[in-house]
Amino acid sequence: MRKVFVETENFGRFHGALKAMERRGAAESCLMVVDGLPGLGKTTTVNRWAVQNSAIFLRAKREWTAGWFLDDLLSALNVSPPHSFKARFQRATEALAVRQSTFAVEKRTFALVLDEADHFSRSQRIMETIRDLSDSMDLVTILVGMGRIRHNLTAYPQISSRVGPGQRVEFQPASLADVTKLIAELSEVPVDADLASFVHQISGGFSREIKESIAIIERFGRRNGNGPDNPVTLRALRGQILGANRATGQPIIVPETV
Amino acid sequence: MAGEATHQIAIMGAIGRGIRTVDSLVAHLPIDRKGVLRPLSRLVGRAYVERDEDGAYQLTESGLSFLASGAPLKSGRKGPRDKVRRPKTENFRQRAWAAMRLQSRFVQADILMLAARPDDGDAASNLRTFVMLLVRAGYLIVLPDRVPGSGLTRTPQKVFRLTRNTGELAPAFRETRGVMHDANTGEDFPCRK
Repeated sequence: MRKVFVETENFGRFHGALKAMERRGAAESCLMVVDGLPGLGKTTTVNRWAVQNSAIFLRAKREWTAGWFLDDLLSALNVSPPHSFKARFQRATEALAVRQSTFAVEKRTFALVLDEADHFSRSQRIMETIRDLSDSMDLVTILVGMGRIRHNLTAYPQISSRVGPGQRVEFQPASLADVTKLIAELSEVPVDADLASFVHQISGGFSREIKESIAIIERFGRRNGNGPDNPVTLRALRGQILGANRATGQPIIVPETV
Repeated sequence: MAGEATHQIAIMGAIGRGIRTVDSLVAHLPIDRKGVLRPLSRLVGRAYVERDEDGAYQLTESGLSFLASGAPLKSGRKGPRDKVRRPKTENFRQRAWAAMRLQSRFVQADILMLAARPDDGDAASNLRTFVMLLVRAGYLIVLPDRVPGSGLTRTPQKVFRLTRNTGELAPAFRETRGVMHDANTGEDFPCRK
């Protein structure tokens, strides 16, 4: 399997939301929410974007407090944390502002990415600290979670109002076009359209399941000498295990009748 | 690479003949104003020329003795680099390092997927070397687990963990000293084989 990142429709939506944020009218509307079920590629997409754009990336912990959040943030910024909360906040603001101005000179977007945001989206102290940081310099802040953030943010209208209409990205299961694209770009063995459609059906559009199926198809194709002239077909895989059911863990076998 | 500093030599010669202001130097020499000002400031930096309060330039003692010696004047740096250069923050290894900091444990394919760009050349080979250097310098450890590869033989792949996460700047290999230089802490770590 090729080691490349495939830009799916979810990536397009994520990118679109970032563009919408760059064009926003209200400067303080700089929060963005990314959510969706596990296995849809949220973390991979955001990780890739953070690595490519030198963003500050923090993974929230279940027991995060506002102080712990600032400690992690200062550590990511390479700044030693002072003792008091006030001084830590001040230091973080200064370090972020310096970083942001450097990025502004280079005409790049500087962002703070907070993964597993469900852990803290009900903590008013952390959410308010994030809002204060974000407001103080119009810092682009991306909250990534599994779907509860959107709901939890409704408890804080002063924060949810900072998430503009185009700045909420819900990751969706991959479409057939996405699955076909993933197979074309990741598999080193060509695959026919029927098999791609079957993978789409059994995977439910989840990236992890799609990649698992691609790995199985690729091994099968290599064993059987499939190449550009004879792609792997659904018929050829009759009776083969092509993945596992996410809900039950049971193997999914290609029916003999296809 | 340093070459003959022809403009600086011409300007020193002109000042030595009594042409002392920028305007007269521009009028006298076949060089435009910018081409006079830049070498002039270099000569001031070398302490061969000094500027009066009224804006006229004159040769210093060391400038006169240098002219008298007839030694060639070279452009470029005056001495060896004595400070460690700040690493470039935008290259494949920097992105790979940032990706390693995001993953608690990883195989090389994970890092390639997050960090590589189409214009990186042979990123896989670059990453293999970088990982080897980081392991030797003690930044990474190889975990006992192996992850089956995706190829036909499912060749097991090594799983790594970052154990010395010193900051956002990627360690850089200094070949002559055989060390990994860490710009975050200023330390050098030997790459033991």
